[in-house]
Amino acid sequence: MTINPGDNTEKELLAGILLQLDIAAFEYIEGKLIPISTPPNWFDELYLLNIDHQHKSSEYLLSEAFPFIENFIYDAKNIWQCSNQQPLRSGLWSECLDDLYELNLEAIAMKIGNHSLLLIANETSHFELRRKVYQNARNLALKNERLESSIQLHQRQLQQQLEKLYKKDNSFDGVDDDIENESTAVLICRHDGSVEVFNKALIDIYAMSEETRLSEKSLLKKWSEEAERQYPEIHRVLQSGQHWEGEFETFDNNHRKKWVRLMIAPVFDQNNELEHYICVANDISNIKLSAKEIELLTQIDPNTHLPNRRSFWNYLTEQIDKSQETGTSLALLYLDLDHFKQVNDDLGPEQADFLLNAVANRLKQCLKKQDFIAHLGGDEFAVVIKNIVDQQSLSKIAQRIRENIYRDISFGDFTLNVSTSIGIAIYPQHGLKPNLLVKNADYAMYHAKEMGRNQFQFSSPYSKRHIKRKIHIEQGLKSALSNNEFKLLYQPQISLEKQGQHRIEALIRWHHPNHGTITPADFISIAEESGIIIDIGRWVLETACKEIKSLNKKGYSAKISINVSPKQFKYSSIIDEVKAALEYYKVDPSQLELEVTESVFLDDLEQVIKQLELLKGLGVTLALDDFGTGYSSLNYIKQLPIDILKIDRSFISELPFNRHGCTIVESIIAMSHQLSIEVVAEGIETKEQLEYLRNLGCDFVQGYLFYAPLSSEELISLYQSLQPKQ
Amino acid sequence: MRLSKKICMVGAFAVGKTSLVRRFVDSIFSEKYHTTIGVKIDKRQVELHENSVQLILWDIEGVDIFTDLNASYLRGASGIILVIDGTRPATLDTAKELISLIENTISDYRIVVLFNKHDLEQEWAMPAALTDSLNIDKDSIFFTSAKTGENVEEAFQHLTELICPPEVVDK
Repeated sequence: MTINPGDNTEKELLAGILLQLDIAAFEYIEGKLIPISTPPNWFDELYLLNIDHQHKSSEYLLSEAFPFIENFIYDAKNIWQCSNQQPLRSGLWSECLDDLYELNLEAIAMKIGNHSLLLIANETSHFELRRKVYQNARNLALKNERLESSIQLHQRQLQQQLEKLYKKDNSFDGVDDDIENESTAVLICRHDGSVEVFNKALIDIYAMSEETRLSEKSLLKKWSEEAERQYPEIHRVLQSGQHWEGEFETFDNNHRKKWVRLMIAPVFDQNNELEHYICVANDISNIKLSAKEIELLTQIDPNTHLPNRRSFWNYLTEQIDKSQETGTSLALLYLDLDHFKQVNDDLGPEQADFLLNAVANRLKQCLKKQDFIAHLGGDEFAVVIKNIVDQQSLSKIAQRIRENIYRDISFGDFTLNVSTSIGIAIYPQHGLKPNLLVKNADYAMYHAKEMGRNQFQFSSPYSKRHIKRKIHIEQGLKSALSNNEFKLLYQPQISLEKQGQHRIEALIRWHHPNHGTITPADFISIAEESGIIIDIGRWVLETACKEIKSLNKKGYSAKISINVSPKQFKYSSIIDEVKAALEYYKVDPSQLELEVTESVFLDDLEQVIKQLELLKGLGVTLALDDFGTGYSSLNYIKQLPIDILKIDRSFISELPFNRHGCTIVESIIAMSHQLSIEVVAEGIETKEQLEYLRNLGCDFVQGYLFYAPLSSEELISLYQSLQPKQ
Repeated sequence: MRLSKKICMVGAFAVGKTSLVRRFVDSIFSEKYHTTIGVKIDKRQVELHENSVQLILWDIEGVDIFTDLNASYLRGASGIILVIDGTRPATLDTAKELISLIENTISDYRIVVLFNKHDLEQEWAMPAALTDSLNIDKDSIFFTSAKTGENVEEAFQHLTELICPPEVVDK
């Protein structure tokens, strides 16, 4: 790895990664900490706040600004001095940017090659969840501790009170009344263990029957034997007449396990001979149980109260081991809520938590008690079902989960319904190891999403292959632009009325180094999902403008139409970009056409119309692509500032033999012409289709009947061949 | 050049370390228990022998079943403030364990012990025999309340005097 990459792209990539991960990264060179890329804004703000003077050089005086880092650098140097050392993490520390905003940071020291690195990671976004878990655990531990110490205090007071009573007349006569209603158990016995006095609370702890009462000579013996496992010194302490107290596990007369806190105080007679023991006991099983719960809290998601990811892995590993021993099978259902990110962004984190809680409750409602449900974080849940009978019964369970989750959730003033995609993998056929099972369930879940969401899929070689390919495409897309793997092809559109009009549609192709040519159908939707479409859109715009310029230079005045994604309207400054490209390449705006699909109008029709009008103001023309496939409404066409309407190839392919298709195409052309919109028919493959469309007055046609998509060179050859010979 | 000293606040969880720092630095107190995760560093100037000393206060996450004291945080500390909750005897046991850890980790430091929450008279569970069991000089033991401010200023001032004898400050 190169830390200071000479190549600007690598530098930018590294800087981008660090910014995305919210990390300020420094290299330790000759005692100085030099940033390896521009640190995030929060870091600079914090640094300037903490440093007494303006920093001028490239060096950051981190030890001066942050006492915590000054301390950490001592340990970091040990890492930097030797190779092959694991990275060292400092643990979290907090810094205040102002009175309201606290940053939670962690420093990491590592050695990569010859480079000694110090990373400062901003953990603020994960911090609150961790704090919440620890807060809950500590609140509970505090309660328990208080309860335990109040029991301890009460036992001591009671024992002193009984001892005082005894010392009055050297007898325990009359003590019964004092202890009868006491909630703490009391047993007073002689030094040989024979019972003299005891109360009802003791009977309750040990579930003693009438017959066993009073004959409990052995209770002291039983206690000392039980306590000995944890307190081996108990016999010696008691025999030497000393006071003893402690907590241990005991069994009542019904053989039920309990925890007691016991205090045994010796009582001496006037001759200082050991005569009695006063034993005071409380059942503390509930406190002990709660201590276990506290430990469990770190394995519970604080919002949904379901086991968390850590707990899930422990459970799955344990159950797979058991299934292996018993030869049984188990199923893993991997759930991912559909469009949760959108919900989170739109409604805010509190409402999103409410929604996750509702989903957790619905999962509990529709599954059996013995089924294991975990909240893995974000919008992911997992269910483990043991001893499954067959795939059919699993389908029923998955169907039940799907239907239960897909119900309205009320948020007070509005309702929302949320769906989930479920992937199912079965042990042993879909994986023998936990990580493989999870991976396969995840692939299947991803496949369910691909199939349209709100459904379930079983793990299969197909889903695995299909999703793997998708992931490869997704990863490949990230570098395709910089690797120059895209290419534009140009398919001419033929005018049926006017001669000499050169219209072309630019069509993108991707030549993947491993997968060969990948068609737009295979990658555009992935690029849309990941947002890379915006960069691809920019490249298409630039390349098309360059091509127009090149054609102009050669004397061919052509209009090129390019496809524009809805994402470009929503997330990029499309108008400025088009304007800049036209100016840069000195292209006449009327030579560029932008094609949009109907889905662009789904979000905010008014806003998109405004953008389209501004684009039109630049002088470009606008086309509505794939008309008829989506939300086709002839009514809203009136509102749109479009010049061209493109009839989708699916209608054309049925012409002229499908009556229904003919009617649709006929009315689209007629309606468009009434609105002064010209029509392009795509996908013309036969002469019959051409004749039919010519008769309807269609303006332009495009398809393999005329030309396949052509490379830039082929296009020029075509224009040359069409030129009238001098 | 200004004299600056590192002070570490240590103790069991929920003994009031953060509340003591807030009281000392910002003169504020909140009844709500807000657990600390990791370390929070604060600073305050203290006047001593007509000079000012900057105390760098390391408020370190309390010790419990999930969290041990990270000994590396003690490095370079001139002073330790060991906090015990006077209403919770168990926090005294933790304090004893911490004293031994501190002794084995750093040298040349001074320590003061604060028995905090002294305003909770009814719940006070720390008889003299227990407070004496720490083997700490009596002058360095304070009964404090972050809530009322009782002895908070005094305890920090005392520690500052211990770690900055006149000859050090005058330099």
